[in-house]
Amino acid sequence: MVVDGTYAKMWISKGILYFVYKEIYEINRSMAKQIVSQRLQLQNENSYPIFCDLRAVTNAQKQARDYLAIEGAYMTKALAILVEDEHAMVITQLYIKTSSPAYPTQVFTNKEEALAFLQDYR
Amino acid sequence: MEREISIDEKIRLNSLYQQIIEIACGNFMFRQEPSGRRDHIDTIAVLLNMMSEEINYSCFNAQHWDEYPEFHFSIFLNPHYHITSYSSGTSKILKWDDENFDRPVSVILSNNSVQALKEELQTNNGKTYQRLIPLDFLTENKSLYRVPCTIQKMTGINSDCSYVITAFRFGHKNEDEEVKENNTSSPSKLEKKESAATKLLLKQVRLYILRNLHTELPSLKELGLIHRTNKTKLKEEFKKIYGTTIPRFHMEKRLEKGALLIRSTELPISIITQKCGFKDHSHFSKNFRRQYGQSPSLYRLENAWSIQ
Repeated sequence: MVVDGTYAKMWISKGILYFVYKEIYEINRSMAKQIVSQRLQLQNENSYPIFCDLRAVTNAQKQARDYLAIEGAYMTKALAILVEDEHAMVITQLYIKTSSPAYPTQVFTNKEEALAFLQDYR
Repeated sequence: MEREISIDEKIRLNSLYQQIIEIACGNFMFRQEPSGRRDHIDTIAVLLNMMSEEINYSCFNAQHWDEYPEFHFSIFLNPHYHITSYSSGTSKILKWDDENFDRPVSVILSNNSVQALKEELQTNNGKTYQRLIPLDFLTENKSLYRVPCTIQKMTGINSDCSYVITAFRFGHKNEDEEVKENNTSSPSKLEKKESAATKLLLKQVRLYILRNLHTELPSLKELGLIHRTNKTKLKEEFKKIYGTTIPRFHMEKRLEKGALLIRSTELPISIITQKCGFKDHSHFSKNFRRQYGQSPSLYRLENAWSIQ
């Protein structure tokens, strides 16, 4: 089942939760809360490794970044973030470094590599 | 061989230099709008924006912002989103070269902020509660100045004032009050301004608490030992930086987690009680009622929604 949420499409396949963001210029805290709520609704009672396609997102406010990394991380085993290019890679690394998520997190520009990283956490 | 820099690159580099100077002068609300080219200059611009945000947040108690808003300036718009008037001093704050009367609001706001303004007016139509949304104002050299604002629809007989943008600033009141408090109570407190190391320590304690919402917290003494500090310092500094006590913060966040799981999953309340580190249902229920004004089961009935 593919869930067409307000800000992202999401589905679960072979033990991985796929989370593909729709085009967003800037994520704010209230959007972040809604995003997490919709993800948990799909997951219901299970934790998953998450493949997060961030390519359509341009920016996220500080409070949204904090919420997504810490309070919004329930039921996350590991996170692979897919970004567009080197530019987004550097920015996402600043996000990971400053938000200190408690679960294994890596950024990729290649989808296959991102999925390979998640295999160990299924 | 040295590569020649184009005029365009020169302008973009100048904007970066200007932002670095603003940061050095303590202006952490200054923002650059990336060109969208996603090249090295854009990367540095975004990193500087994020750095300003991080510094502003960790150094100026940005967590308390909602509590101490202070009027900054206001701008009135007519039904066509043209500027009709603004509070005196606005031009100086936003470093406008000319007056902007009768010009479209897009002259003073970034494209995304114009969109955010219109969306806010559509979605928040007529509500008495106005939330703060960050707007990026264009200042000299096409740089951006980010300010938290409320956007309201006006009622009355003057059709030139259909909408008002009210900008706020924060933090100064805190600092003034702190100095006043320190001066009146004990002179030794003047030396007690939190150091960067203390702020980092408290940030780690906050993270520790947020990562342990599934369990009861160790005693403050133990928490101090884990973070190589003492109970008194931990207690005082946490209150000073986050405006609440450690047990209260932990309880509030556990209940927020509980509420999120109640409305977003079908997990039984008994499991959610455990996942949020409560000993038993009555302990959870009593505290939940205090924070949300209703029992967990009633909250689920009224707030649960299906993603399908």
